[in-house]
Amino acid sequence: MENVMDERNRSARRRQIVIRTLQYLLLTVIALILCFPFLLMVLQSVMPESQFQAGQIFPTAFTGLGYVKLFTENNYLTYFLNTLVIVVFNVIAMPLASSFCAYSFARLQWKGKELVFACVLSTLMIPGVVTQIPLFLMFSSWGWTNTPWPLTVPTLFGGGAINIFLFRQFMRGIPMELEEAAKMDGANVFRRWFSITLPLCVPILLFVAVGAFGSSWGDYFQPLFYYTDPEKYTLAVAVYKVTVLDGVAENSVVMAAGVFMSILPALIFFFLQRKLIDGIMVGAVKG
Amino acid sequence: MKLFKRMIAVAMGCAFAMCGFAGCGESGEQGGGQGGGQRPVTPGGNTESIVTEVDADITATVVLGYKNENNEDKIAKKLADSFKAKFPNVTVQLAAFTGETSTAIDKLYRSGSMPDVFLTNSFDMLAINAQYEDLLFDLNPYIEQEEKEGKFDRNDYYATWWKLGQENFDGAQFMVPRAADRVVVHYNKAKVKEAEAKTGLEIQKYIKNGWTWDDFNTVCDALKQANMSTYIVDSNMDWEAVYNPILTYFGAEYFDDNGDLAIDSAETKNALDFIKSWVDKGYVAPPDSGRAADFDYGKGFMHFQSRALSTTLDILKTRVYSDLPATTDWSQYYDVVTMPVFADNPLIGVGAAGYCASTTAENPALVWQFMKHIASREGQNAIAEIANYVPVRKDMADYTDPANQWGVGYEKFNLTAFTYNSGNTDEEGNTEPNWNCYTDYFLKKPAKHAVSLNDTFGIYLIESYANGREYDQVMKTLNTRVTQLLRR
Amino acid sequence: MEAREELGAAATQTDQPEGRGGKFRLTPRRKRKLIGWLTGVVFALPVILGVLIFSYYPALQALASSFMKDGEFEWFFHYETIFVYDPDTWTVFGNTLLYALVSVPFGLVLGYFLALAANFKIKGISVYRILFYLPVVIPGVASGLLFAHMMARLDSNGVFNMMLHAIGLGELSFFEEASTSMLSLLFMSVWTAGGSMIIWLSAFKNIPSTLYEAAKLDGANAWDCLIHITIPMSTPLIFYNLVTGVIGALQCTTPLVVVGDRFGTAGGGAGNAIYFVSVKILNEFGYTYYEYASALSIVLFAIVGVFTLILFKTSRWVFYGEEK
Repeated sequence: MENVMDERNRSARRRQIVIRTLQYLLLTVIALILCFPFLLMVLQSVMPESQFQAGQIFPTAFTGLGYVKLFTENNYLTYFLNTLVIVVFNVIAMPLASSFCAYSFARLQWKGKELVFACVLSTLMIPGVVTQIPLFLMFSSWGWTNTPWPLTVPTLFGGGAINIFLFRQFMRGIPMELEEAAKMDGANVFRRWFSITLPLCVPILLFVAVGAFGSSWGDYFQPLFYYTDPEKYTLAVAVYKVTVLDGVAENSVVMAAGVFMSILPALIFFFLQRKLIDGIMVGAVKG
Repeated sequence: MKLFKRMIAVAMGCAFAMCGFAGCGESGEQGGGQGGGQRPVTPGGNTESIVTEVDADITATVVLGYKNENNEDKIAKKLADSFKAKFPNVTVQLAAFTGETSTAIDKLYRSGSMPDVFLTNSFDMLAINAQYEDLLFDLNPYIEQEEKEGKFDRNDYYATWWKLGQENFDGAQFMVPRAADRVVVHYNKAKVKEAEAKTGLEIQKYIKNGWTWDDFNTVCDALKQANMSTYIVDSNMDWEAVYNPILTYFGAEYFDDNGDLAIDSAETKNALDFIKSWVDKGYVAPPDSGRAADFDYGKGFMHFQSRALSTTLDILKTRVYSDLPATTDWSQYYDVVTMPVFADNPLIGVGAAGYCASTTAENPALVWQFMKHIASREGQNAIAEIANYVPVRKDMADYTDPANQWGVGYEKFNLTAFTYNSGNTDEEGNTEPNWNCYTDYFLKKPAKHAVSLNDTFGIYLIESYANGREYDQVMKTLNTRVTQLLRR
Repeated sequence: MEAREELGAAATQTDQPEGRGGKFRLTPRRKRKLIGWLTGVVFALPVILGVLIFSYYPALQALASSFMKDGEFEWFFHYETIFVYDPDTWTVFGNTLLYALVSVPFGLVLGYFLALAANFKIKGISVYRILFYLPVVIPGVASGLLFAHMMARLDSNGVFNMMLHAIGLGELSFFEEASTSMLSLLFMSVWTAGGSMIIWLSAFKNIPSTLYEAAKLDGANAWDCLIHITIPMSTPLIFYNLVTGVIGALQCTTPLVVVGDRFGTAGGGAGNAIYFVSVKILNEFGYTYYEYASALSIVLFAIVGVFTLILFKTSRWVFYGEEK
């Protein structure tokens, strides 16, 4: 009797192991396929030009020349700093601005709130290209071309309807009791927003901040509209212009530019992934 | 859910409510940041009062805008530095811009950061002038004044390019052309020699300035026979500087005097058949094939291009001949020659790049001095030193003259190809013929369509037919394209 | 809207005291109410100004200028050009709709299978999830560039073609030819399936496991579970993401411009096979045809509007128990 149980257990375990192995195999294959282009980008960024011209896929020798040329010939450090200014501003301003406004819609009682909120949400329907040209005309009449203002100042005004929506949903899920208590202790409404509610919104704050990072880091459309001065370029524009439009850069330089653009988003995602995936899920469900 | 329904209702309501006042607002496009600051240019009748000279030790700043491509930054810097020799206290501030020139200038003007002088080509010049009537600075009063005083002479310059700097190519002088910009054939001499050796045919003797399309065909057939590359020529056939002389030679007309499209004619068909024959005979890759002769990669034999000899040479040096020592006699590997022509009416496509000044400039006389500097020997030498562009001055046509920066280091090349038969006069007073042919059919239409019309004819007439589409089909499509385009 | 709100507020302040016949006095109660209202408005003020200045006003400007020809009102002139004269219209709108309507469901289906794999209950699964999602965080410019490079011809050292060549298969034309361009673009979207994977994972998470346990007791197999539990239970979420995805795809540009610029004229790709509305609008803008570009963007707006309406019409079914 015991033998039979043992036998069954063992075969079950064996089956378990086979399934596990197959599962790992499948996952690894998928991961390889999905990451292959980016792996290749990294590898080709250190591949000598001669090997690329000879039609090699993977490098057999390594050179940092692509990166050297990227930074010496193409001013990427300037572009990086230009981008950084915009990115840092938006990463800080967007979560703060949208949580600030969302607080009004989630926690404060005032007449006309629902109506205003509906108006805010309705802007989601307006495609970017519709407002793009009039905005361009407006900003340039304010003398904002070749300044970071068009890419930063609008963030201060609410930080995007969808973010307000996310914050509002999230704040509604936070129990009122904490705030009531703070109110009793005489905390004013700004403190209730900043010191009580905001710390409880960390997952969504993080999600919005990373979203702000992603959108300002990768955006090349807006900068292309507002910058005519190549010194003011952001990274994405520079990569697009130098490598695509001019089209003369060597392969390793193009790939190095791609790696340089991708490395920061990848790192941020990597270190915050658990929280982010949660946030993305919140976004996916509620969004 | 109620919320979302209300959201729609609100959006609709707002839209209709605000529609009213948005419509009453200013007419949208003419916002102009510097609109108020425009100064009317002194009318031509009053030239006596114009002061063209500027105190040599004036302290001032001139903002020079240029498109950020190739080595324009170095050219701008060189021009700025060489201007210092004349006006030591004048700072020429460089302001690079990017994108289509007319769009970029539009942006800069709207935002109130208009440069005093900017680099443009003649098409963008027309487009800018069409958009902002008083923005471009008419140099004619200054030129006339200085001609009277004997300080300037328009006859020093090739008439063709000078004209390309004028309003509608015949009027107010908005632009000082900076180079004699003409299509030439860049050809790979080393490969041609190789082909000669391979086929035993004489090829090189046909390739000379003033050669004809018949010579061109003979050469191409011989090169085909050598079987060294899939295609012979990168033709840029969709470029107006290439197709327009051919269409003009055959007598094709784009628009008639009423402004109606008149392209559908036997003459056009002949011109198209001529261009298509390059594809049929395998000289040129079909435009829609995504393939090319790849001249710049050392594969093709010829390239119809207007760029400077040094630019192409540098490309070939790095891409193709990187193994050869720097001391090589490069003229044995690569050279230029004039575009082939039809013997009975030779025409070669030209265009112009140059500098325009803005009426928003603080000191018009200083701006004029800067423009004059660009067109002077010093200015032309400064440009040639950086980019090897062909001087627009007739007295600088001799590139073997050591004082002429244009030819320094390139004496062994056939640089004459760029200016051959441009209406120059030699020392004995003999004037050579002028083969230059510029594109001006679009002047019958509002100038804002110049660039898009050129693109449209290039793609939907020339390339489309060369790709093997039926003539009637091509005409039908082209008609639709042009009609809708002119409705913008 | 803001003005309307303030008017309303003023009315509530003054109406009541006058109704009572006394002169206006700010009683503590009323004062508190007013302060409460003001606080609310102050907090919402940035976004109120924001939507007015940066959304409604420009949108109406676009609408107004779409009705103009060279600064003069000529109501439907540009719309007539779009629908009667411009031969690109059907191409770009067709391409855009086709891409949006195919790529989004395709991505969701792909994401579903990805999510199934990413839902294995084994050690280290979170690492795999990261790897699956990683391609999504790569900026559009970088990935557009990368794929344009990988999908080049064999003689331009396109990696995919080199690999096909290595295993003895023929060359694929990818973006070089009109017939394969759209498919290539869809092929590119395989790498961003991680995005929809996350949606599915969160949908799975929201399905009570008791349902599966009960079904298993009834002898249901994996297929039955998918058809009868997973899909019906995730429908609202998936449908919502489907529609918003389509709306997003209608406006997308980044990788397309990168790819289109490399392989064809004016960002349309070979034979204009991947010429999209947004790219067309930008081209018109490039020629400084602002009014025409505005008219095109309004048409796109209308199409997005239709999809939004579909979303709202069906949202009763979608947003179960969401609104309080």
